[in-house]
Amino acid sequence: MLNIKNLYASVQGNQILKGVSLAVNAGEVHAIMGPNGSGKSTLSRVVTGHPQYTVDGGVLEYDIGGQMTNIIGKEPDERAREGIFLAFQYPVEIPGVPASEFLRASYNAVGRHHGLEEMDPIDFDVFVREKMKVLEMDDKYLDRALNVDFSGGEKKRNEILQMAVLNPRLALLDETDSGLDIDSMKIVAHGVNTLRSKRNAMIVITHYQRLLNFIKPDFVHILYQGKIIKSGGPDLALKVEDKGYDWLIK
Amino acid sequence: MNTAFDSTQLFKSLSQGREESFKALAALPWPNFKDEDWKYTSLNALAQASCVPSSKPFVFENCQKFLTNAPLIKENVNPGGLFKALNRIFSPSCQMIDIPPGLEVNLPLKIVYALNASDNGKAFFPGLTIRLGKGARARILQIFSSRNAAGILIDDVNDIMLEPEAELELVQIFLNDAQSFQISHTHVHQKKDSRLRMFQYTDGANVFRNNLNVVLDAEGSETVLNGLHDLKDIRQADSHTFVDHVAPNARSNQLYKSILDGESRSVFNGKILVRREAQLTNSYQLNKNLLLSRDARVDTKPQLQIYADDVKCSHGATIGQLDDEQLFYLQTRGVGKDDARKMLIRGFVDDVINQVKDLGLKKSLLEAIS
Ligand SMILES: Nc1ncnc2c1ncn2[C@@H]1O[C@H](COP(=O)(O)OP(=O)(O)O)[C@@H](O)[C@H]1O
Ligand SMILES: [Mg+2]
Repeated sequence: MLNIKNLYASVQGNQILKGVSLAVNAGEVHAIMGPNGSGKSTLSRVVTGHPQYTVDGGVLEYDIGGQMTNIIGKEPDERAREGIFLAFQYPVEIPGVPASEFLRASYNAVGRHHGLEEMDPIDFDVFVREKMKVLEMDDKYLDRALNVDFSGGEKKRNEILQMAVLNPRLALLDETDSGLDIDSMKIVAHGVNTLRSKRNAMIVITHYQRLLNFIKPDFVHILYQGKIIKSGGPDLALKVEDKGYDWLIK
Repeated sequence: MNTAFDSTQLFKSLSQGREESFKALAALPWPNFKDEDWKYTSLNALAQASCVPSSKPFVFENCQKFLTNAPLIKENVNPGGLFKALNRIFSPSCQMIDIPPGLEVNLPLKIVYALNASDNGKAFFPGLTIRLGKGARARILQIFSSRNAAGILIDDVNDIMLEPEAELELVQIFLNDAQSFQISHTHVHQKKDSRLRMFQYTDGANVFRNNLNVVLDAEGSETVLNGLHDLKDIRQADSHTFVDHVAPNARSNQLYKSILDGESRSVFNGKILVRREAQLTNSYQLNKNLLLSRDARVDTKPQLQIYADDVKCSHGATIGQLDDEQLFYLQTRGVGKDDARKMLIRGFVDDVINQVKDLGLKKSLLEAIS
């Protein structure tokens, strides 16, 4: 579904990704771990098409209509409509835009692309509230301006709600667990798990292996200084938890 | 000479007013950028325009009961500047809406000044007086609609008097042609415990100048002034607000926003005067500008003059652009770039539009500006 090969990327003249390779198939969950500043968020932004980041080399392909397609240069919204989703490490506050209005615009933009009819506000309200229940979100959420004055936990839940609404084929979760207490983390993890299926894939970026107790990965990769320096199964995460990164960096 | 008219009180007062106005005019130089009041708005294009004086009345909806039959003689011009003097000379009288004491008018009153292509090249000097009697309440929509009238000058004067405990919500909408000139004056006089809530919308003109003066003349009066400049191409809008805190214990709150695209220009000048007697004044002012283009320009200038010591006052101004991170965020949710920009722009104006509390007025505003 996603094929990254020897990917180089930079931001503001700084080379951050230095030859990342990663292949993700439908149905798989990949975890990416690594110390702060190693390029995890950069990778997520390059895959989703942030305009500030330039790809300097390598391959970035994604399955569109059964064809692995080069997505370098495609706008973020084109990628999103094809089913790529990013749960932000730091969700952005958008004053004056009610969450409900935004969610519906988002859902309809993606739906239209796939030839679906637009959902009217009333049907959409029912649809969203169903998803909000799973994430134990407050009723008032929909009337509030997007992420404005949301607590850290609310923001993260909101990201997963958007994921639930859009039902992406490829979801990247960037430190969705950071800033969450254990109860909130369980709720969020449960929300994520309900979205797991054979047809979609996830890349879970995290610092801590504790999230991986709840969202069980098939593969674990260690990103360090812009490169994946080690890949393995779930036990790699446990080992990192136990020993830190030093043994990998040598 | 029409001798019958000659001898009337009306004639005398008109001629006297006219004479005074001409005298005043002689003392008023044509403003240029050296004039503090016109520092950022050039009147060169207006100086070159040739306009034939003409007249047209305001058209009223839902107001019949409150219209006074005889046109009022305008009050003395001073102080008021050149354009107020011109208004007085070319149209000495004004129309009036008078809401009796104690009456609450639920339906929004509508006042329309409509010009069209047949008015090209003409100059208009409308005058309007609105008075709300003691404890009266009203909502008023005033629209200047001259979309296809090019090369016109509208030089209007609106006088508003709020008697004690009166409450007025007023929305003014200015829809001009890009090749038109409008110099608008709104003067508000507020008495004890009266309340004004006002919203001014313009999408600019060749030269658009809005002078809004509010005098808080008695204790407990409150004024909330909001506005939006929604500009593109080479349009321009200039709002000068002046809130005069004369009496103690009064409140004023201003939020003015501008959106600027193309090569448009926006000027905001907000003056707050808190006189020595005006203790316990609460006065706030904020001007926020969103630049959508590199070629647009904003000049914003707050002027606080505070002579009382026990007051709460603040002011601020910001100039920003659309935020790349916000755009990216919306785009990662499938929303196309243009729609994302529109969403952010709407988000930017959301709080100021929501300052319009009457739902009927808000609906009319949204219709007019969509
Ligand atoms: N917009 C940016 N401008 C400049 N440097 C950046 C930017 N984004 C990230 N970086 C730099 O790239 C490196 C990797 O950052 P990031 O991808 O956020 O790491 P991680 O998510 O693994 O903590 C860091 O050194 C960071 O300072
Ligand atoms: Mg990060």
